[in-house]
Amino acid sequence: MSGFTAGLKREWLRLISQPTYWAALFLLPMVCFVLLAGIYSVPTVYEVPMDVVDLDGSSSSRDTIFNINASPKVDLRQVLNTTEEAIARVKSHETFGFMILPEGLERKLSTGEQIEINAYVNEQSLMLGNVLSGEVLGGVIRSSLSQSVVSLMAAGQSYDQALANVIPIATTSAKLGNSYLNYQSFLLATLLPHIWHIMVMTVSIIVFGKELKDGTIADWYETSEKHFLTAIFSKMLIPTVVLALWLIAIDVYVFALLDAHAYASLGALIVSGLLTQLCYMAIGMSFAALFSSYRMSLSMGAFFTTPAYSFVGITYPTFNMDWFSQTWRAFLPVTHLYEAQNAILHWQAKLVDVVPYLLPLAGFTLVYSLLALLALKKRIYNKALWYQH
Amino acid sequence: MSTMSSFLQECAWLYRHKGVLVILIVAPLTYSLFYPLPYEHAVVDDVPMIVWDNENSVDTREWIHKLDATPQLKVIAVLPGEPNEADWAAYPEAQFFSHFPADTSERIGLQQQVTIPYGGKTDNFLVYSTAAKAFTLTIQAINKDIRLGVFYSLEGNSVSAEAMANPISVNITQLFNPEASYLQYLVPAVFIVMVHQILVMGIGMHWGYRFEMNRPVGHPFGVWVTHLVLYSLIGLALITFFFRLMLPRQSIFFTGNGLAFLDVSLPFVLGAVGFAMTFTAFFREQETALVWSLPISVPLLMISGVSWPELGMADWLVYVSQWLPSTWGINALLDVAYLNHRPDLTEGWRNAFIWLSLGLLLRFVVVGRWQEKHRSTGETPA
Repeated sequence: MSGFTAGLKREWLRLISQPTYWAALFLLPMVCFVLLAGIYSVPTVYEVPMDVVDLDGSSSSRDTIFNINASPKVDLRQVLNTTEEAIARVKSHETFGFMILPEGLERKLSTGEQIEINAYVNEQSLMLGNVLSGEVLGGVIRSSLSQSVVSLMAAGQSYDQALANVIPIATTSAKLGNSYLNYQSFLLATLLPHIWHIMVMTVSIIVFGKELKDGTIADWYETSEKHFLTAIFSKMLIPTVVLALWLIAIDVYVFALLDAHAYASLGALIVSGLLTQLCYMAIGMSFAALFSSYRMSLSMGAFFTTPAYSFVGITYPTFNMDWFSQTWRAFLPVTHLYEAQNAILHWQAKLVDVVPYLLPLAGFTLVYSLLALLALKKRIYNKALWYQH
Repeated sequence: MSTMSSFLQECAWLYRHKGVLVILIVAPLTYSLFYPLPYEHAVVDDVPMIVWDNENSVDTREWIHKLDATPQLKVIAVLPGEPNEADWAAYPEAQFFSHFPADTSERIGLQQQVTIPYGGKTDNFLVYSTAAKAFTLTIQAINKDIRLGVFYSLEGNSVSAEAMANPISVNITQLFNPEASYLQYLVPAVFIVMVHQILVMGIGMHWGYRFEMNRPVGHPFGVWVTHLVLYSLIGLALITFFFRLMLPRQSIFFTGNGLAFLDVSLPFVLGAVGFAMTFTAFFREQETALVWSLPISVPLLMISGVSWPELGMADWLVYVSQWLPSTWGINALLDVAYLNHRPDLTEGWRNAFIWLSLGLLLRFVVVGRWQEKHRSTGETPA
């Protein structure tokens, strides 16, 4: 049996005999992916619950309520009589906002007096608060403008003329990239690689760190016929293949979910991911070899990967971040994967187009690979370090 | 081994165990300083936009100034002509655009409606929605000014004109997070998940230590009581540290008093401790808790519904989520901290009871099996 095959067999036996190892490679990614797919089960949120406090109880107030409720994004739950009830329902999360239609609404509309409508939204639930703000604002403004148009038509203007006078500047929007504001493309498609990159890092640390912790370097090295590169490659082959298969599964799932085959390049996305995988495997190997203990390596790996999602600029814009966050972001390899993924999924970029994003990733991979090999070589060749972990 | 000696032994281990102490002290301190960094600005402003002004009239220049004066928008270039890809590519930092066609003022003067296109990159939803909202509000304000002029010319007095131009005005009040701060929206919830995960890691490492080092496993009930007391106190201390010290440092102040906070913190912490005991019962190494905790942190945060609402989750997951101490804990603590609302504690105490009972049961099973294994092999733990 060659050193490579013997090393491979040894690694397989280690994998099936260590629950944490196989859990990190198979079970935990599966659990996380199922959970995330369940969390982002729809592309966007509809029917955000809200109440109306109708103090007028007139046909005009009912018309305004109807206007708001016509929006697919709003689910009008109850028409209440008091503000206290509405606030209590917001606090208990039964609704995310309410609107008060004041007493005298109909009378004021017929006599031409101005009416003020107050709406309250739960902005601690930022996303739903913003949805309700937009819908209430839009609904009430539409009601208001239709009243103004009627006034001008009553004064003798044609409908078009009245409309042009009431809304002289109309707007039309173009959403570039993620045209349907699909949250599955925005969050699910980015959180899955985030979890995956944590697992790549963790598994790489487990593979080498556990060996160093158990003091089994000699056995590992001798099984691979004392050939350094054979020892490394035979050790990394199985986790590399499994993690790459996870990556491919994620990318295929995302493509199927977004129906992206027609416009985006799956190959480019997979290549970008594989390069990221190599990079994080090299970082994991470096951490395992450089830090004083297996536990410390895992802690540092956690620090490097877990908060990364906050820095990459998906949830919060980079131009509003401070210089430290921007610098840290630039040195996170996963940032460049996200940039490539964004270009591929939202801007129809091909592999050649994402090369500028992949170059820094390749640079990181090279640097960390050299660092990992040097650090591991030192660990393996120096018997005094075999049991110091 | 008696309950008391188990208690003393566990306390001594925790005091000597550098790994657990790092997780309990260094990790919260480091993460609470590091994690909020990207969000410190709290709101989105100065979204870079470019405007194609194909008219270059007094009106359009004034409107562009109004857009630029909006805190959320920053006009980085005003270009002549129609929108085109070459210009757009020349300003890669631009997130948003608008275009004023050549005949804008003329059409408005002729009482014809004009359509202004706007748009932007949707790579980041927060940026796009902020810019789009600021843009439409500015255009609505411009429309209102023009409309007011029309009605003034018809009515001859500004009071009637105002009422007819804007018959229904709407005021939207942002409750509980008046500045719509992204920091207040996300970071407290992350800190609560952090408390949960620190407890899972600490208890998992503490529990795994005895098996890995082949130390006496201790009396399961004694160890359970010790972990319950120690880690509950640690959990409460961490919540106090985050909400009293670290969040106010970011100008996020809570509304509830200390007792109201304790009221919800206690069932949450007890539930988290019970969950940690159950989750880590079969762990045999200190590091196992780290490996298992890391990837589930993000799903735990998301399942709680603070970032992505329950409305958008699969039904089975909404059902599962209510049995997790983190879901109830995050929502309950945020209720007290920012909504000035005392949540229903039943679910929190129910979860605490279930998870603590399960943790105790599993520990009896694990210790029983461990002792049986050692009896059969004739080994005695050191």
